[in-house]
Amino acid sequence: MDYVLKTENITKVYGNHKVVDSVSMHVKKGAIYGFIGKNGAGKTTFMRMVAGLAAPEEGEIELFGSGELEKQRLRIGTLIENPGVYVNMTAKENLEVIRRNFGIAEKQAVDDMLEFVGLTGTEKKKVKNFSMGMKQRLGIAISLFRNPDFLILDEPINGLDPEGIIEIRELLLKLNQEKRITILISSHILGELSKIATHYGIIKNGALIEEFDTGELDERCRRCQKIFVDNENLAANILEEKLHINSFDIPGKGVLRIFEQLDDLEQINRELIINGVNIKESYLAGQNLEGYFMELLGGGAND
Amino acid sequence: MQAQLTAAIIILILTGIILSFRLWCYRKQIHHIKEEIALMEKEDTNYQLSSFCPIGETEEVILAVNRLLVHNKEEENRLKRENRIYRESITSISHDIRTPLTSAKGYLQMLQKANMKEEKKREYLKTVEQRLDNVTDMLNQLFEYARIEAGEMELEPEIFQAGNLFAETISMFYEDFLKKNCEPKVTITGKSCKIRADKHAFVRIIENLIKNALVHGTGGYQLSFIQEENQIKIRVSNMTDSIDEKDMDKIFDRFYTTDQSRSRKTTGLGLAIVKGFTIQMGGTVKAQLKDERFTIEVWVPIVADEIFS
Amino acid sequence: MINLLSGEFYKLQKSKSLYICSIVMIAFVLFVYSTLVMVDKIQQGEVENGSMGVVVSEEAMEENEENPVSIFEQIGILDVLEQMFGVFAGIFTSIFAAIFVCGEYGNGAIKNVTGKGYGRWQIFSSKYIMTIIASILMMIAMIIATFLFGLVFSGTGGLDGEFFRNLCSYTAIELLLGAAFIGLIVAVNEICRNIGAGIAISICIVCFSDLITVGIDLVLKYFHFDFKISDYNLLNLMADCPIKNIDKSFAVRAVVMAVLWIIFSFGIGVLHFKKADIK
Repeated sequence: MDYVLKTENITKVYGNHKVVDSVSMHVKKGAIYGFIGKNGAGKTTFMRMVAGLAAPEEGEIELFGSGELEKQRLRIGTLIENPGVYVNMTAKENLEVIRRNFGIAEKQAVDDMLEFVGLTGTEKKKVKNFSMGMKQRLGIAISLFRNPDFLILDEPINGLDPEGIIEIRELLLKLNQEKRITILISSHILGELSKIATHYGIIKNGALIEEFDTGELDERCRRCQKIFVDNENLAANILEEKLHINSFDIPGKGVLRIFEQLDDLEQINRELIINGVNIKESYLAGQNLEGYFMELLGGGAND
Repeated sequence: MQAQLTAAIIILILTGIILSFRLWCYRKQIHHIKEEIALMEKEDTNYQLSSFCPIGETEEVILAVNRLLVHNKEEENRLKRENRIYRESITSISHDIRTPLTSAKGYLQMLQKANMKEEKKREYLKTVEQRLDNVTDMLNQLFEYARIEAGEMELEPEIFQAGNLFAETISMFYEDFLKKNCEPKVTITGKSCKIRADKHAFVRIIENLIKNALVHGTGGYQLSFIQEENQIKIRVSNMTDSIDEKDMDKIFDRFYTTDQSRSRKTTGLGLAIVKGFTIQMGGTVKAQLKDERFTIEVWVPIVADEIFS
Repeated sequence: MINLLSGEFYKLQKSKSLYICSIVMIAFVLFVYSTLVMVDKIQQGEVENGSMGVVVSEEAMEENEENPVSIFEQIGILDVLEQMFGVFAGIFTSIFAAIFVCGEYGNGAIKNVTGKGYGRWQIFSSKYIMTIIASILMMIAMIIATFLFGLVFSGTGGLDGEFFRNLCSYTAIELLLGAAFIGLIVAVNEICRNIGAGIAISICIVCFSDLITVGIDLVLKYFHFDFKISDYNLLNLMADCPIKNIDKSFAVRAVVMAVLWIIFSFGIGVLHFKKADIK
């Protein structure tokens, strides 16, 4: 499999606090990778290391299957933290600086890009007078300016209004599908990410605790019958022997999750009771995405 | 004399410096381009050539190469996308065809069992026939579309009164509308105006429009055939809940179906065929969605009476 | 690298601080001249000493009382230039340099070029070079302004071959020292990365470094070391540079020190920029 980004146990220490703790991330080509974590979990620091703005204390980074980072980073577009802009210049002048810095010969590229992100007609306006959304657009314009193959976006929808969020979402989908740009996008707004992401990485206290794709996510979030019983082993036997249910799991003591035959719940309950299992509680649980992520991220504790 | 010599030497040195700087720029520029091309050859990338420094006509070369690159890239991406859609649709068509075939086969196996009531047998046979009809329909549609696409469809245009054919065709769907429990509102004006088209194709347009409406519509059917100056407008409109405003552009694309996960009843070719035939007749198609009311309009030019009277 | 310089040059063109600082410097030239005019008038007895906020020290007055000649006979263009280079040039060019360098860090615009195919040293050196070029341009503007105002106020009397020789050698050395000084300021600002702190530190360096070096000289002298730090400090060199007939040893020392300081500040800047993370 082609990986656009592969990191091997990278670690960053500020003081004696491990901000990023041996993260091994794998971003496949063509993916939209949702990088999820609370504020301060280490998302930004991780992205800064990938983008070459900070050096990791330990570990290896591989971009496009190559260790020549300086060279391969030419193919990355980044928007990390706030957009890096000169506030005393207009959007056009800002892009002109980028154009010159990277020796892009197409002079009309600046205007084209402004149009692409919807910033035309701001010729006279300095960036310091821009709204948050406009600044964010300019940031995205800068990140896209050199036709990247891999986009790293840190909270790109922060501070945008709902319409802006939809616009950015559609823009990203379009870039991913039409130009086949791989995207690494961080957010703490889970609902927004789940609409576009194909892969997920969950970071908690600097450590990447899980990596999975949408298929696995669906698997984990699918509807199930949750049954609380006094004897889960007996219950498991009954399910297999009498009801021929194989698709279930036991997430904890006295709890069963059944994924099959959900249209015949009475049957399941009846059979269990007849065979001497006491049911304390039984309900149909469709753990939604948000709930699942919250469970992964926090465990409720505010640490 | 001394001063002039010094001046000459200074000028010479300056010229030398400038020339060698320009030479250095050229060499660097060429080297830079070489490196970037090497990268682009190796990788599948959106990357474009950049310039090391603006010297001579090198930037024009870069611009030209980039134009080519963009063009090729767009072409490549379009092909890849179409390929993907094509593969997906092959999968879905095979699935669509296999479902009725499997079911028919199941009934046949049951029929092979002995001692079966004659009545039951007939019922089963009828089901098998229905299933096979389904498959035939789909295959016909696929075949038809493939021929339109390949330009092999030999249309035999004739001049006829379109209104009658329209009325005839919609009457064939009477029962389907009854099954859906709603009677369509039919409007026909200018019944006698004539168009020049292949009759079979014309019928197919109307059929496909109605089938599409029956599958995706939820009620409020309106079918109309209206004379508008020098063209006729065929309009099929219904309420729907399965279509989005943004789908309007793609609705006439082949293999386009609104919701991938919805149980498939169509191949996604019906409207593509409508478009294909209409364009061959010199007409135009348009789809729109307004307040959950989905409308497709087809315009076909009218042939003036004088021409052949 | 050429691309980076081109980008820097574009930013330079668009930076208001360049124009403002240059204009203020020129205004100071005018201010110095108008002060001279006023002093001149006092000496000529036209304005009473002490009025209009101008106080001329008594000694200067007495010295010339016998024979009241125009002050411009004694204070030529080069003397004014010496004043300008002694204090104002350092202050305003370093304020500009602080704004120009720290502008990259204020909103993190520097991260658009870092890690994007350019080596860190290339990014730093393009900034370094462009800031020095800009400050040289500012100083040249100041020199031209001084020269032109000088023509207006003191006439073309002293413009002989010797004057031009002195002017050329003096300004050449001052520009070189100034460039080295700005290089140091760029390095300092690269390290502190904050406009406010950058300007403050730069002004402190301008104002107090002579004092400190002179102080250290005194201490050294007290301990009988035959060594003067102030001979090697850029600002002291700039202030001490004789306007007429620069002797060879001074010129050599100035050039060597300028080059050494440039290498030093460039090295420090590159090292820090290479290692430090970018916010």
